[in-house]
Amino acid sequence: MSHTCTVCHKDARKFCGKCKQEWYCSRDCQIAAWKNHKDECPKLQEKAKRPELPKSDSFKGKNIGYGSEDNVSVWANIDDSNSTGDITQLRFMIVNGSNANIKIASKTTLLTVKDQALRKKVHSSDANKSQFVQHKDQEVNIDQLTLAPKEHAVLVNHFQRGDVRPDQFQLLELPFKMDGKGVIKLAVQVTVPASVAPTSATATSSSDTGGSNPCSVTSGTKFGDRGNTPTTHVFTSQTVMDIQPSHLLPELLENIFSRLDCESLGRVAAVNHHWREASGTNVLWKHWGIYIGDVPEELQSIERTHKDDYKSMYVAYLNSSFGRYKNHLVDVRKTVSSLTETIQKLGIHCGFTPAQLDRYEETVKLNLDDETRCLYRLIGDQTSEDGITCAGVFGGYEFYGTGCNMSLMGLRQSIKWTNRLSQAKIDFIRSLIPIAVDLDARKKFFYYSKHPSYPGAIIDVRHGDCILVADSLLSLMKKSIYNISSGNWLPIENGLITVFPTRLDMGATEAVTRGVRIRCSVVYVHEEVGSEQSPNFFSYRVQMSMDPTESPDRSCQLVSRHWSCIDCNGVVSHVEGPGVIGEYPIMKPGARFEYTSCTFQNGRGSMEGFFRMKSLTRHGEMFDVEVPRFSMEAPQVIFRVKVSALAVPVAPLTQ
Amino acid sequence: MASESISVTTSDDQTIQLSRKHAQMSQTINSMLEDSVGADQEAIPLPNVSSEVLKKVIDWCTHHENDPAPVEKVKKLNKKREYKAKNSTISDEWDKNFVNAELRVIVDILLAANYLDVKGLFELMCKHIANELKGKTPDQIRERFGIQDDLTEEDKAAMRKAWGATKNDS
Repeated sequence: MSHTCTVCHKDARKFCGKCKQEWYCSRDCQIAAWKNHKDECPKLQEKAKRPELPKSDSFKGKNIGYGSEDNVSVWANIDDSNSTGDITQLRFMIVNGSNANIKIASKTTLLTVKDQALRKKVHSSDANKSQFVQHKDQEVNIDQLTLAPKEHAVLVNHFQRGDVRPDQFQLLELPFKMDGKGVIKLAVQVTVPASVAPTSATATSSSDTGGSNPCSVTSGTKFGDRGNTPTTHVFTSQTVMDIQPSHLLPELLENIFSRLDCESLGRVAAVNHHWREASGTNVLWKHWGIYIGDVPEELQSIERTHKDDYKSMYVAYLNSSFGRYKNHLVDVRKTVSSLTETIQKLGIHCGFTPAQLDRYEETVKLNLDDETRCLYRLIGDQTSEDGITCAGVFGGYEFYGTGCNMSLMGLRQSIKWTNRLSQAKIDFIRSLIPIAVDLDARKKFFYYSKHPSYPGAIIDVRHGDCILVADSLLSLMKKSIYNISSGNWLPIENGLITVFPTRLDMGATEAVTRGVRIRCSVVYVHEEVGSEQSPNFFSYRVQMSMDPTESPDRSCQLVSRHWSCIDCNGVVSHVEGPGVIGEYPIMKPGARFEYTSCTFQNGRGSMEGFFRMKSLTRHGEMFDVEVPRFSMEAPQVIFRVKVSALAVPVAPLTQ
Repeated sequence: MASESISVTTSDDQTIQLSRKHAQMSQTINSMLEDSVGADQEAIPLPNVSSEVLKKVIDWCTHHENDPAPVEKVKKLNKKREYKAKNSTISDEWDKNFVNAELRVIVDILLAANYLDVKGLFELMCKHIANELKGKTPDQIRERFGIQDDLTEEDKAAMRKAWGATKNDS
């Protein structure tokens, strides 16, 4: 409460009706004080006629005021009796200091509430009680209110029309958050009848003609226009409470804090009480806590114990064996949980224990970085169970009976392959640990690099040619998740997730000719070697389809293929042949056909062409269907080892 | 016809002209303008913004006047991933220079941006302050922001205990 009783110093909610300056807790106290007060009351009344616009530093969350022209003033104070800073009240007083009736027009904006949550409170607490106060969108409206000369009204939500007398205060009580929304907008429109127009008013807008319309709402302070027409005056007061930087509003602080990591959030909590409170809200902490089952028991029990209190969940987690991954856990867990959501038939095992990881690191003589280690704490290897092929998390491809399905490798397997690599003479190769393997044939690997030039990176090696697959194991997983969840990589029948892009905005190309839709995409196949002149091997996929709404007389059959291959020097070579992969697919409405093939390039190149089709209904006429161009580019080799330098035949490198 | 320039009165009683375009970047001024359609424009009172700060705001608005309006992000279908920590990266070079000011001024601009409801500027100031907070100890923050320490020793001891030894790790 911003005022104390003049007599007993308790919280005061009433004040002298004449001067509005002295506050009392009850009528009894007022009577007791009247003896002393009656002398000073008229003086105070004089003063009250000209309430000064409070200086911002005098607000301190207690008063918002508006000092007006000679005869009307509008002010409000905020009840801060609720020291927890949650709900307080806003009282709003209009004082008529003039010699005339004043009329407060309907649709007057009393308060603009900026905050969504606050607005709800206003609605829920006031909607039923209030007869005249309406809440519409962001505004709180009152109906018409007339104030007699010298009368004032303190508005309440059950405010009643015409029931305002000097000794009968009406309060407008609005739930209001103590530290404020920053802005409180008060605007009251007052119409002064022509006959008793104030004479002492300072005319600031004597030419204002809009003022004669009692319904027009104008901004700013206007007074004046004496004459025989009623005039309208609008008072607005907009105030932010004085805010020291240390005392920023919780909403502002929350916005700032929402950009901090958990650790910084923990630190700002130790600044002072206010910051501690503002930084402890669940919503700020929520982003790190996600509650999805299949994680190690230790994490699960932390999450069960602190279910809806994310901050204490974080603290508990810091004190657990996961504390070492504090900078990574959020990211890694999100990735892992979206992984399990995204891929069906993942066949993934629960993570490894710290002891297992320590033993692993000792054996392979390399330390994983914390991010990768954290990942291994949460998920283990992928294995096919019961003969069902599971989808390798890193996707794969198939063509001509070969291909790959890259899955996350377990520690034991990794040790097995690392042993072979560790005998290599080249530092770079020795710094690699296999972490992903082709699930079916086990002939393709991705390696985790501990080489100082590529710490933590994922590398693909073939015949000593090393290419960079991803910056880290986590980012490789994110890449998979992104491609799968965006529908770019699609699972095919046997569960394999093919890494051929299918989305046009992500690498696929498309052309439509006479209802035949051809979509092409291409992937680089590192493990295969092309010819000597064109060592880079690419696999491409062609999808043909015809829209079901097409007319059946568009039906046609593929007769021959005609490719134009452009190499890195711009040289075009043509390849023609009957059918595709030995087939002559028939295209009719709703039909789909796709095949995968391969080609070689030296570095970069592109392919385009057409399929010659024979119409099945129109006298067998021939026409060409465009095959859109697709480009191929081999990734840069970041490290090249002569095969002869590989001291021992290292199976994963040379197969 | 709406006039092309708007005048506002700041807390230190200065009247400042700004273009309608800039004025409308402030939702607060914009709604005031809408409220007063048809009325002759008088200076709009901005009792919470000093002329010094307002000039800063106008500077920012001038630089960003052609920015596309911020798009409300479509909520992701998956509720579990809905809440994402906001980042605090300031990418614009001009902005980086702009926030290179005294903290008191920054806070004033933040408050003004909040009051005037200039979204981009508000975001920028929040980001900057968040960056200021990152990696600092509570003591450093108190010193930087001129905050009084009102936590008792018991409070601090309890916090230290809860956060454990990991708190001070690198």
